[in-house]
Amino acid sequence: MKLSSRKYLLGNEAIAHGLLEAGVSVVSGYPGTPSSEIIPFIARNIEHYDKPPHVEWSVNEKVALEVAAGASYCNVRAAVTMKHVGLNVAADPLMTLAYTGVKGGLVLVVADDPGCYSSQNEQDSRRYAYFAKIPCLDPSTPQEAYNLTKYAFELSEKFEIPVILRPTTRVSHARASVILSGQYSDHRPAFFEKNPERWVMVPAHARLRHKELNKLQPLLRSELASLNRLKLKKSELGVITSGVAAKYVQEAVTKLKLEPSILRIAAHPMNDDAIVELINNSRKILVVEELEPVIEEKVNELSGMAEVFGKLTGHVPREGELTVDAVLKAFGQVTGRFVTTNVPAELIAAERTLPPRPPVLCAGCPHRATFFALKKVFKKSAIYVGDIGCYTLGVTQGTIDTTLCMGASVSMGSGFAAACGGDREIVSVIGDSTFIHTGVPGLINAVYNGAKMTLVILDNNTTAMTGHQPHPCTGETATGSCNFQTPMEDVIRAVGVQGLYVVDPYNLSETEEAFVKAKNGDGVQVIIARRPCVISAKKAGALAKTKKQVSSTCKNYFASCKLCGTLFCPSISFRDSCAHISEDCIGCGVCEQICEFDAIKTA
Amino acid sequence: MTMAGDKKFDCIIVGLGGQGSIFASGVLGETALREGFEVISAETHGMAQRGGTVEVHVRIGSSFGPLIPLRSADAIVGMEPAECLRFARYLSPEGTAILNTHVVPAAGSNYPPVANLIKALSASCGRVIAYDATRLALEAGHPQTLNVALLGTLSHLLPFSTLEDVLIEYVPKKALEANVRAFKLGQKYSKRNLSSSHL
Repeated sequence: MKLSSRKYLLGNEAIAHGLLEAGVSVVSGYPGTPSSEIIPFIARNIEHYDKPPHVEWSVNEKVALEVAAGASYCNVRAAVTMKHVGLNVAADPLMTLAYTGVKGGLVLVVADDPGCYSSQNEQDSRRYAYFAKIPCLDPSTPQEAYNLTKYAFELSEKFEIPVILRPTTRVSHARASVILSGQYSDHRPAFFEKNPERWVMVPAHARLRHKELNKLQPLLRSELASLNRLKLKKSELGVITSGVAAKYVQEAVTKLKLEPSILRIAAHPMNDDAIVELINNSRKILVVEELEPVIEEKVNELSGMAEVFGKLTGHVPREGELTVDAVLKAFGQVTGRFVTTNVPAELIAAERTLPPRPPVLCAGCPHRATFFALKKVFKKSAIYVGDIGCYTLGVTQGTIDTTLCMGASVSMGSGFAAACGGDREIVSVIGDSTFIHTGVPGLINAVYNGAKMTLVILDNNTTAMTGHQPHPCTGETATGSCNFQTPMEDVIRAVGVQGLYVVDPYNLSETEEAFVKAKNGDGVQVIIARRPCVISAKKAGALAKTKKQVSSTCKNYFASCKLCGTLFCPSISFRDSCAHISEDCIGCGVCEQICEFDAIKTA
Repeated sequence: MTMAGDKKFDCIIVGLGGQGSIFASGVLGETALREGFEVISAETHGMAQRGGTVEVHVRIGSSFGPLIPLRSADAIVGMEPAECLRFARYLSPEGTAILNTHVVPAAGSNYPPVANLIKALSASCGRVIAYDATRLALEAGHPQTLNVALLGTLSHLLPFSTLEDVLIEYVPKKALEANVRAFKLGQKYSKRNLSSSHL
């Protein structure tokens, strides 16, 4: 047996430790910020365990949850990791999994992203817990995330129900001292007991299971009441908080020297008792929580005579991420006690002179070349239907007109084609990992329903945006083994596309030629622009050592040119009436190919 | 060393993707942990791999959340002058700014004179220690060690005796010598400017 230890861990690493100590047998997931580090951590450490879990990157979150559900039906512990929007994809199995319930503990780690640091929206996963009528645990630190991960399995098994663990960015991506118990549970024995009334959700069975699920609710509420922390004080102010916001409240009351009563709700569904007790003890209630006013709505239901302040009254910001400063301001408005944190005017003036640094595609990113060729052939008039990944940054090059959700580029492309395809060229743009995630059904649908459109697959052989995770077309699995490499071309041909071209985006003329053919072709035309991500290539030592430089033939860009500037390459800048190429150039040669004055050469 | 009671040290480490802000914060946090302090930090990188800012809040001896409130950090370490200024509003009026004066230009935008940035910093915090850490890093043997040079400078504000030991454990073997040299050069630089510990 290992001894307890204290380690400096990322929240996601603490969760991974919790999963391993809980004796999890199957872990699945799809990468998504801020959840992506859990599976790689387990995969990296697998060799240290006598009986390691099966760990996998699944093709998408729905598949991942179903993999975990299958394992759980066999009595073993299973976990699935994803970001908040991933739960939308997994919502279909989740809603009915709540009816069938589980056997081995099943924990969904769903990381929310307040402030949309790397997401298309800021939805609140606690809402899903209420929607599906399952428990949700809301940790405020990496230590709690670790503790609650282990507890989540016990809870899940006690009530035979899936459990959501919901860290937010400041838990998943916080690094903190965490005390690990070092106590490992054994894997549970695997067996499946046939029981159609339990596992086969035909209507007759579903009606019964729905009743069972509803009967569980009060039991869950009283079980989870023990996770709430109520500290009553002789104060007219009561505060109700949860998750990382509880820490902001703790700091704010310390700074303001306030001593309100504080209730921390760490689990859902909420138990009314503690809330009612706090309300009865207070004249004013301030509710501080990340994302949606989930707790605040409940408090409003129960509030009676107490006055409730929070997101719905405008005292706490309704959108974006909370900060200690935002919480201090809320306390100020409710209590009249403020701390002044004036930023000096001189600093503000200097801040205004700072150059913006928006995210850009890397120097030598193959997507940049694809976008340049795309714009040249399909022009500004085409509709570029985009997707989720690094290539969303193609918006600066004018080749991303929409971004909605994973896989939407292909299916929305069909919709654009149906609506205005006769007048406008429709070009869908998707990455390789996203294509496998949910792009394939859209492609089958487009061909089957006779869409006229072009699909460009930006194949950089990785899931780049989230930190270079493998996927079926790379052949590699989460643990580095290789069972089978899904042949992308075969998949595309099999669904019946009329034209398929594979090009190297660094070769602009070849790429443009393929785009011209696709433009003139019938039905659905697919171009795979294939070139490994520069970051992977750099790590593999596969980059050319040569850089490019600009010669004196570069024309005054104010007068005549600046064509290489339309690449938005971070290596290219303009000064002294001439283009300059910086040290971080990787020598992709795309600017060299487009320069009309032959001014760019190998250094 | 024993737990230091209610002593605390809040520090922002900021730079561009690839400049080593997360590495420096990792060494700092691990050292604090080993020397008996509570430590929590927040890494914000969003899409930083694509050329943006990496901002790390490190809180030593704190039981609060990982984000430092405005105007309250004891120190800011800036790997790049504009990025340092971008987060200087977190620095307390008595705090220390340690920054690299070597500029990384931003494509397509004008860059303000570094002297102006330092002047604005000086007007809003306790003291500013600004030097060309990139040059110091080159002197140490590798430009990439600028983060470690700045960490060396920061070390004078902290009562840690094992910072260098943790650094030696953390850096890859082949880069060890340059990093240790950079750390010592940064440390030496600060001796002229700093004396007492903050914690």
